[in-house]
Amino acid sequence: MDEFERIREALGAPEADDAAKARAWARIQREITMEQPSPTGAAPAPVSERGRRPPLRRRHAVLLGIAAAIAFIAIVLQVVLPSGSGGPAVSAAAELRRLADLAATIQPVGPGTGYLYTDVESEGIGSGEDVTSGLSWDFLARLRITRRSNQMGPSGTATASNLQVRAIWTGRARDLPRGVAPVRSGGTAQGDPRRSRHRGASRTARDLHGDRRPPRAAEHAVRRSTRSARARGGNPRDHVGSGHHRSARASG
Amino acid sequence: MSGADATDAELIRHSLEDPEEFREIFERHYESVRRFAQRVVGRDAGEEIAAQTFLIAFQRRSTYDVGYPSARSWLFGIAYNVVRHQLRAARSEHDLLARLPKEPDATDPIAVETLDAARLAPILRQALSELREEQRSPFVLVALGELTYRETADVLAIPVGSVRSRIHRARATLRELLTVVRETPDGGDAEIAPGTDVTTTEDPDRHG
Repeated sequence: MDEFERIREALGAPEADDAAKARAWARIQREITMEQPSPTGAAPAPVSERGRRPPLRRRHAVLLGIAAAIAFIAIVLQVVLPSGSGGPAVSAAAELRRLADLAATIQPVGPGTGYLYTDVESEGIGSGEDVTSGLSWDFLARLRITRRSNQMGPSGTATASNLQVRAIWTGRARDLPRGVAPVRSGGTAQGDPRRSRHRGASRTARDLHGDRRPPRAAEHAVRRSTRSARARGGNPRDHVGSGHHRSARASG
Repeated sequence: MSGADATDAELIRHSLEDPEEFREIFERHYESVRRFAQRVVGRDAGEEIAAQTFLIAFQRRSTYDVGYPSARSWLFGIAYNVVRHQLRAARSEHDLLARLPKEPDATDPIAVETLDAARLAPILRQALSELREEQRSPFVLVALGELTYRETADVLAIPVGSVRSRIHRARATLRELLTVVRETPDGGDAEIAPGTDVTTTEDPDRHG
């Protein structure tokens, strides 16, 4: 007896079971009956259409496809849906929606579609001099400069159509911070003997003529500028050339 | 066509027009397939696997390669695939084999040559389940299916030389796994491998 025979003997196999064999053939017989042409002459259905399970490989491929689809959907949901407490606070979808809403509020900038309104409130040091008497003086002033521009070009440039400068507060030169020297101007004989010059306004006031950003973004910039000015010293009056401006874009 | 003298390939080809011709194929091979299946997975599951094997063979007979006169390798290939599918369905071969009925003292340390068949069966099945698949497949087909090396190579679609070397390694592994310790009367231990005294030097190719 060789090794294989010994193993076969050990594992054994029941004696032939005619009933089991008959049952097995009966299953095939049913299959044969289904294959037989019907009396009406209709062709038997192909084997593959009789509820047979698809081949193992095909089933594996289908299962693999389903698993891949589920994984893909899971990844997409992870990105699109708002995450829970463990994830980032704002989902990508929510951020995209917010940006879309913001974009909808921004009107396109084009030639002649409106005017640019710039409102600058500026504080600076000025000096005056009477050239005939030789007297000179210094002053502090807070001015409000309003500029309305229209005819915005494709490049974002605009033509000023209205400019208003209004002093809303003045002070004496002794209020100057230490170390800040007043500006003196010699002037000319041809000019107005009483003239004053204002400086400092351009330190934080920003000319929006060349600013192509949307108005809302510009307003954000203005607010940031104002906040930073306040953060530096509290009262803008204490600073030479401090100021703020705001701009808005209006229709009409 | 009468089935007695016809080859399997001829019977299968004719069964495409007359399905009753398949009966001869069934009669020729059912018993060997049933024995193989029952040796591998036990009585009831083996009976079901044998029935499924012939049902699948009948349904797929149009794909049979008539270049092979004998359908034996084809049928055992189907049977082994069904066996593996069933084993996978049972989570693992180990789980299924472990559920097979065991003799109460099958694990007792006794000499293999003194074991009767019923006691050796669960030990063998356990050892077979621990073989690597590449070794188990050819070994099971040759040892339990009584296929030749050539037929086994056809079933597994590998060269005959690979079948031979894999079975050689499987036998070595099995001997190692099946080594049991017999406690001798004087307290000493003696290792006895199940195949030690029965290992044949015959070439298994004699089957074919």
